[in-house]
Amino acid sequence: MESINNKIIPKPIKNLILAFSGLPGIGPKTAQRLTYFVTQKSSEEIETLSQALVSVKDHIVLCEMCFYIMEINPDKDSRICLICEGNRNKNQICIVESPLDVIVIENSGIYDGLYHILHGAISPMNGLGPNNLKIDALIKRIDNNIEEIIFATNPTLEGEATAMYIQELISELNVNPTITMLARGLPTGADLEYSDFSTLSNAFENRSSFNYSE
Amino acid sequence: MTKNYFATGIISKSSNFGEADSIFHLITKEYGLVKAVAKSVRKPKSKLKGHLQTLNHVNAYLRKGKNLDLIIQVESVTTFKSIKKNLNFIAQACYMTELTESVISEDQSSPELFNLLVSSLKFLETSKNRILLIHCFEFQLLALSGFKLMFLECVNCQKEISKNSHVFSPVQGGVLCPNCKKSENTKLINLSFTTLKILRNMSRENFSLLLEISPPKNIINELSRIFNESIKELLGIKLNSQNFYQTIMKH
Repeated sequence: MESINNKIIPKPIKNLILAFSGLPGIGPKTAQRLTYFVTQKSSEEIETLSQALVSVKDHIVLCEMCFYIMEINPDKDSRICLICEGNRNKNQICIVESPLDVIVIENSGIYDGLYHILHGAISPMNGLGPNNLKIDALIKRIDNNIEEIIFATNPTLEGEATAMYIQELISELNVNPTITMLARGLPTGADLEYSDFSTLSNAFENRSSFNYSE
Repeated sequence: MTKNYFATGIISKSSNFGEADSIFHLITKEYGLVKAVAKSVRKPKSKLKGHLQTLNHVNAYLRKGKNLDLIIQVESVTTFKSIKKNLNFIAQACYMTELTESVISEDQSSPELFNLLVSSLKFLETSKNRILLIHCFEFQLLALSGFKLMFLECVNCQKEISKNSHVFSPVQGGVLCPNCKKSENTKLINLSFTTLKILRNMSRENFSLLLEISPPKNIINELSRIFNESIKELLGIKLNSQNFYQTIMKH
């Protein structure tokens, strides 16, 4: 930050460095590098970049049902995303932490149910509690038509705590869906030699029957 | 010149950094609070990832950096699996860990604070009765931070406390006698005799006895108020995990 207060740096540059520093994973040095990169680009390129940034804020909203990111359709009043509207299995809800998780699962093509995006996970030490997430809306969505709820939160303390908290809330409802969680264990291509205790014990606990037939 | 070192610690916090790196906060025995980055730890094949989970007790091999240290190797000693399977225990463990992080200094050896945290987490994992664990932990942590609460005599005049007058001053950090109570202008908390008996046992360090009893809810509420106010006044901090802990307790 010392360099940003330096008098020889023009104010617009300082402002842009500060703006970049606010992005996740960008430190002061990277912010300075990005700013320098911007100064080297032509006006047209910067115009395209700035328009793309403004357009994201103006044309992108969250789906009212699952909270996935979607483009505003001026012909429609309701804000329901393509996934919620589409011809999918509406008896399954897969709970994920971020919209990026939806993109990964959709790219794999292995799931055809609905989603619910929490936009984070309970992280007590970072000040993220249940009220900061889209949990209330999820509980309102769950009725007798829902047959399965799949927890696809990250296999971290925060992800597991979020799943436990939601499960407790669901158990208080007058519904009885099957509640499942993505399997925890060894990733494909991993070395058993380098596995830690948690991963290995999860892999043993969640081991499945193996039947090879030609 | 690079400087590599070993440290044993509890992972208290993590945040994403860059494309696939994460920054971890470690409450270590040898160097107090250490902030270190682990490279590519968010990728599925990372060998460090499984060990670097919040609340894990780890042995780490680190390299000193300009701003952040670098985690080169890590091995978990204890993962506190039973704690991580129960939301109530997670809330308590997060609260104790965040409280320790808020008082521990960077680059300063704090074996007493580290041992207090590890032994409390082990107790939380193994013991059947954990009701007073948090308050015993808070009492000892305040004492190690230089704010030992006084329950055996008046915190102001050091006279013995009479049985009829029980008030606690969070600002002074102890119980006040009737005379000193009159001249005290700060917030005071009335104590029941049972609460005072529990607090006196804390002062005498009878923790094994305290961890076996199950006091009624009104006594628990009194104890919670005493420690919440004391931490606020004496340490001047508001913990992020406290709200979550209270939400889970009410739930």
